[in-house]
Amino acid sequence: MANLHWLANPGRFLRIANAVLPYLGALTAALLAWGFFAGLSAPHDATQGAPAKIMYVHVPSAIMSMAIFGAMAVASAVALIWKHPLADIAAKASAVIGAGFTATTLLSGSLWGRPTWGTFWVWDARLTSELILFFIYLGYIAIWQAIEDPNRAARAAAILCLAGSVNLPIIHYSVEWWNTLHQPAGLLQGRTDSSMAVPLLTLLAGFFSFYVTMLLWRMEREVVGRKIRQLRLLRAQA
Amino acid sequence: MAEFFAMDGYAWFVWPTYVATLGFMAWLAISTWRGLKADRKVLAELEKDAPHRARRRESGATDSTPLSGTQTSDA
Amino acid sequence: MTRKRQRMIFVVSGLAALGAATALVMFALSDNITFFRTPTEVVGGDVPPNNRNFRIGGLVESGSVVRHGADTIHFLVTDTRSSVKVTYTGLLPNLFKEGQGVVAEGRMGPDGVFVANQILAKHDETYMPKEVIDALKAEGQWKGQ
Repeated sequence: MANLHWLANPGRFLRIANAVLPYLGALTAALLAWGFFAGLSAPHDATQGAPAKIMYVHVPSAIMSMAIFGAMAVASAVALIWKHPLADIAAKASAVIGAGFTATTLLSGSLWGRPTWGTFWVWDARLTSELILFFIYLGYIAIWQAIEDPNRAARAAAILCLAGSVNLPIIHYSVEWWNTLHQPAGLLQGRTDSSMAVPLLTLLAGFFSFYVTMLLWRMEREVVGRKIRQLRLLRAQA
Repeated sequence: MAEFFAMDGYAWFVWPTYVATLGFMAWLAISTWRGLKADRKVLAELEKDAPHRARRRESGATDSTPLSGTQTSDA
Repeated sequence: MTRKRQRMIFVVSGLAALGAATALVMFALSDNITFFRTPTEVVGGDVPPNNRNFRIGGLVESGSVVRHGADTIHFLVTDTRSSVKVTYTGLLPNLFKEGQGVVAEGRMGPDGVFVANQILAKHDETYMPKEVIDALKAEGQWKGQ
């Protein structure tokens, strides 16, 4: 754990984050600009036609909605077990990003489902478990809002996050375990033509880079916010 | 160009998706950046008002300012 | 035992217990979680009691679509082993086509024909532009519909 504790120093974290952020921001902007351009100018899918363009935001959003929750679960475990000072900050800073991507996943999926399946929404295993993920995100955010003391909020939120992480394999394997209206994942199985897979993977990289950029920014804000809180407490005691 | 925006008649499904997703990403980036700037300002003023803090800053001790809401390892 | 180790055991065993409980619940509910039944299941008598609504899913059998009048349609849903006859009156999704995936919601009629009140199109995970499919077909490499 030597490395973790070396990074645990918030001042050192801020210095590294501030050094990396400009490059990361530029990389994010470049990947997103290129990915959106390539996706929108890619040919239409033969079977589904124009609505399949929704894939370019739906698939990266969906992958990020789960990946971010997975990252929060790891951070929560580190926070509970090793009491690493930045772990609960990382988990808290991720929540809004993940919740937003879950919302865009549900919205884009709905707008994709209507013209292709013939319905905005069905209660199949994939759609329902993704909706549950959204509510778990909301619950996680609500805990941080409701509990004033950061130590107690971090504990409660971490336990909720770890408990909620059982939903992740359910979302992922839902299309294999049960009959669903949602099709199985096929992005990396060579069933997506490269003219569509390349923009899709570029956007996936762009969304991931966006997440890391926002995460560092929001962690920095949380570190600053906690310093403010502590100075005010000291002032009140004096 | 008009044909591209028409999306074969599916414009009302495709474009709201892109607007919502990019709108969320832009909102998140802007609100995070503004919030960070505002909080930094508040912190700077608080540190200015507390002379003992300012002194510690000059001696390079700010780095070790402990975070409230965190504990050190007790292993 | 250090406190760190204690906490780790606590977290891991908590997760294991929760995972096991979830797995049991889902195993018990698997009939309700599944979105549709396959034709083989339906032919084998796996239909809900009291003639309740259920969904049947599979492929629209090639050559089985018969249209009656303006908007009534008959077709066979197949999983290549068994097939069930479906009748439906109403609007069809754009993707509805022979050989394509379909999910029909409705109930079994007394004559063994499934009377659908909603038809949803199911599609697979293949994404290809028309030009690529045409090229593959020209080379005899295309394995899809």
